[in-house]
Amino acid sequence: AVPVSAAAPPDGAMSNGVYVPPAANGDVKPVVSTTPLVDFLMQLEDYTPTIPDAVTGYYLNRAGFEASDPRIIRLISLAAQKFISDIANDALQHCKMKGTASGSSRSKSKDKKYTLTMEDLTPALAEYGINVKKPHYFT
Amino acid sequence: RPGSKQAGTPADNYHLARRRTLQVVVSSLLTEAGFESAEKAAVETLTEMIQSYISEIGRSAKSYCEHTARTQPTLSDIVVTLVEMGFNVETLPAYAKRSQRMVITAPPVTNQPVTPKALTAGQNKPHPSHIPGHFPEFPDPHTYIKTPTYREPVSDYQVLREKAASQRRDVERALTRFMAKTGETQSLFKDDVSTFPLIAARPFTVPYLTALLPSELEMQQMEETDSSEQDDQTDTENLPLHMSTDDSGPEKENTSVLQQNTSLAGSRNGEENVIDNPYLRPVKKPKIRRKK
Repeated sequence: AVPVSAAAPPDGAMSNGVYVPPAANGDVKPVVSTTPLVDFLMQLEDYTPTIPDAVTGYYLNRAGFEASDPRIIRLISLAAQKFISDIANDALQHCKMKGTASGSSRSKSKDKKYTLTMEDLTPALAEYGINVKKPHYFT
Repeated sequence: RPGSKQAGTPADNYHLARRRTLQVVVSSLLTEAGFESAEKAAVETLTEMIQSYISEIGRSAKSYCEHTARTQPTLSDIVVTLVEMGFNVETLPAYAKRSQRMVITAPPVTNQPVTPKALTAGQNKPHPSHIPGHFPEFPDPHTYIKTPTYREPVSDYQVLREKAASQRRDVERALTRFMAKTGETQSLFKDDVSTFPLIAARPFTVPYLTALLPSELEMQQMEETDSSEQDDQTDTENLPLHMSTDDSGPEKENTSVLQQNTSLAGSRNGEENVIDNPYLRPVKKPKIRRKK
C-alpha cells in the first residue's frame, strides 16, 4: 500500500506521495509507479529468451555482475534482444524506403527478400547516436 | 579479442563459443525482423553491439548497486541502468509476448582439462579457509615438499656394539684367510688340505733371538740419545751389556747383526730427516745417567 499524504501542497499535484510537477506541454507526462517490471519478472520464469542464460551470464560475469536471481539474467537478455531488434526494424524501414522510393510499380509488391547491408544499418544506427564507418575495401 | 586468430587456449575457445552463439542470436533476430540475408559486416557489427550492450548493463548495474552500499544487484538497479541507457522499460513486457520467438541452444560446456589419475602423486593439500573454492587446487605435494634421501643411522648402543664386534671378527677372518691363501699353509688333517688352512709357522734357527735382540726402533733411539748427548760412556756400556746376555754360540751372529742394525739405523736416521711422520718416530725413553 502506498501512503497518501494528508495535506496536499499548495501548488503542483501529489500522486502516491511523490511530487508531480504540472505538465508544461501536454504530451510528456512523468509517469510515477512502483518499481516497474516486478510483475513481469514473475512471468519470466516460464519464458525463455532467445539468448541462452549461460551466454548472458558469461558476459555479465566478465563485467563484474553476479546475478543472484536467474530471472534477472533473462530480463537483461530480453533488453539486449529488444535493443537489437529495434535497430533491425529501423534498418528494415530504411531498406523498404529505398526500395519503393524510386516509385516502382505497385502491382508487384517489393520482393520479400530483404538483405541487411551496411548502407541500411548506418543511418539506422546514426539515429541512436552510434556512428559506424567501415572502410571501403580496395580490390 | 574475437575476430582475430587466437592460440586456442581453453579460455579463448570458451570466449569464441559464446561469441558465436551471440552471432546466431543476432541472425535469428534479423530473421524475425524480416530480413532474408545480411552482410557479414552488418552481422559482425550487431554482434559486437549486443556484446558490449550486455557488458555495459552489467557494469552499470553493478556500479549503481555499489553506489547504495550493496553488493547484490537487484531489479531496481537494472531498471535504473536501462533508463540511463535510453531504454524504454515500459515496452519490455509487450516485446516479450511477441509471437515469433526462437530459442537458441546454449553452447556446450567444456570441462577444464584434468590431470589424469595416473599422473597425480599423493594427496593435494586442501584449500585454507581464506581461499575461495573456485580457485585452482594446490599442486601435487611432491613439488614443494622436500624429504631427505638418507636414513638416520642407528645409534642404539647394543646394535652398535654388535656391529663393531661382527665387523672386527670379519676383518680378522678375512685377513687370516688372505695370508693363508698367499703364503705357505699347513693343514691339520692329513688328506684334506684346503678346508682349514693354517698359516705355516716359520721355524727360526735361533727362536729366542728376536726376543733378546732390541728392535730396529730401539736401536735408532739408542743412536739418537747417544748422538745428542755425545756420551761415549753409554755407547760402550750398552754394547757389552748386550754381549753378556747372549749365549756363547751365536755371539758372532750377534755382533754382525748389531753392526747391520747400526748401519741400518744410520741410514734410517738420514731418511728420517726427510719423512717426519710422528707415528714412525722412535719412542723417547728417559735418559739414564750412570755414574761410573
